[in-house]
Amino acid sequence: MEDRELVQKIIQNNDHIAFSLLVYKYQKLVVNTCRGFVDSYSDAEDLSQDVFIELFESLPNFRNESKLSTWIYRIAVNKSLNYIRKRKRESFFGGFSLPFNSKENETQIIQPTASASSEADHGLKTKELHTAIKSAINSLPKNQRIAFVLNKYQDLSYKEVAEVMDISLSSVESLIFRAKGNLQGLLSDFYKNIG
Amino acid sequence: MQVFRKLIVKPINSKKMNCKDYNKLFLSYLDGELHQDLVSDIKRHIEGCKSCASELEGLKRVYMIIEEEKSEFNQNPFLAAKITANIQNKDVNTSQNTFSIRYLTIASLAAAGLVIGILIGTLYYTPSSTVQENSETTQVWDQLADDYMPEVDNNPYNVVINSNETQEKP
Repeated sequence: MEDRELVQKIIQNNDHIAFSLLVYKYQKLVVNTCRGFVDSYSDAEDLSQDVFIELFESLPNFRNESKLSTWIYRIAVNKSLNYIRKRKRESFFGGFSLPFNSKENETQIIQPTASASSEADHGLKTKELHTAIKSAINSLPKNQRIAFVLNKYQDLSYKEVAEVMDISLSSVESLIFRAKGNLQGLLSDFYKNIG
Repeated sequence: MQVFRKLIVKPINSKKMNCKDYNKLFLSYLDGELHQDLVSDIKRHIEGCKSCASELEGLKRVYMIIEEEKSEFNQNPFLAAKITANIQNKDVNTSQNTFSIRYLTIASLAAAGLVIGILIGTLYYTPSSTVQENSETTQVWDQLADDYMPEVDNNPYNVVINSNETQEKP
């Protein structure tokens, strides 16, 4: 069934089956877009629920001027950016309670032991690298971040990224080129630190 | 379909490029987005520079991790049901809220109306008849008092003066 038909059924008849079909069709797009911004897969899946709820509520405003996927990408990107902003705010305010929970925090610090196997060490480094990549991506300026995630996590062409972001193709080229340069710098520091 | 436009970022004199300049191009190099001349320059540089070769390997791993993250996806057959349930819950909560808000508005409007009514009533209500009655009654009582008790006797100062006078007289 075409997107347009599904959308009409949802708007006119509040058709939950049509909405379920839409969720099934675009689940991968939404989860992977969110995954580009957030630390874990479960966070991305949770966030995808919010994206689809927002989509359901905003469907009456959707005019078939652009593709539905473009509309969904925009919602997913906005939701992810809001989520990251909220998390940053929470961690900022959470820092104030640090002295009061010092004992709890002490136990959370990972202490490397002499008996740790090289496999565990490798796993830890991979986990650290995952975190470092996310942290580096989220340190990029907003537009560079969006362009990079859409291009790398969604394999969108530069032209498609330009459509989603509503900017020119040359701007997207420039944004992604600069994003890659910046990411390299940020990740280079990480490699230096872990040796 | 990916649109790989070859970016012409080759500097005029590649001999002026240092490791940092090459490193910044590595992710674009891995994506095959650089001009062929620049690709050759980078390859030549990596052969002679161990630190840049290791940097490039590290960035290859970054791309591998991004691919890993993308492959984590599992179609969740219950996601649609979860979302529909959430939407319905949200609808119920919203309607309950509107219900209570409606009653709260009506109650506050009624209270405001009552207060305004009292205020207007207080402003325009002139109890003229009562005032007249009161003043008339007071006058009558004054007359009666004057008749039975002369003013001199009622004046406390006079009493005091009289008493002083009596004291001073030996």
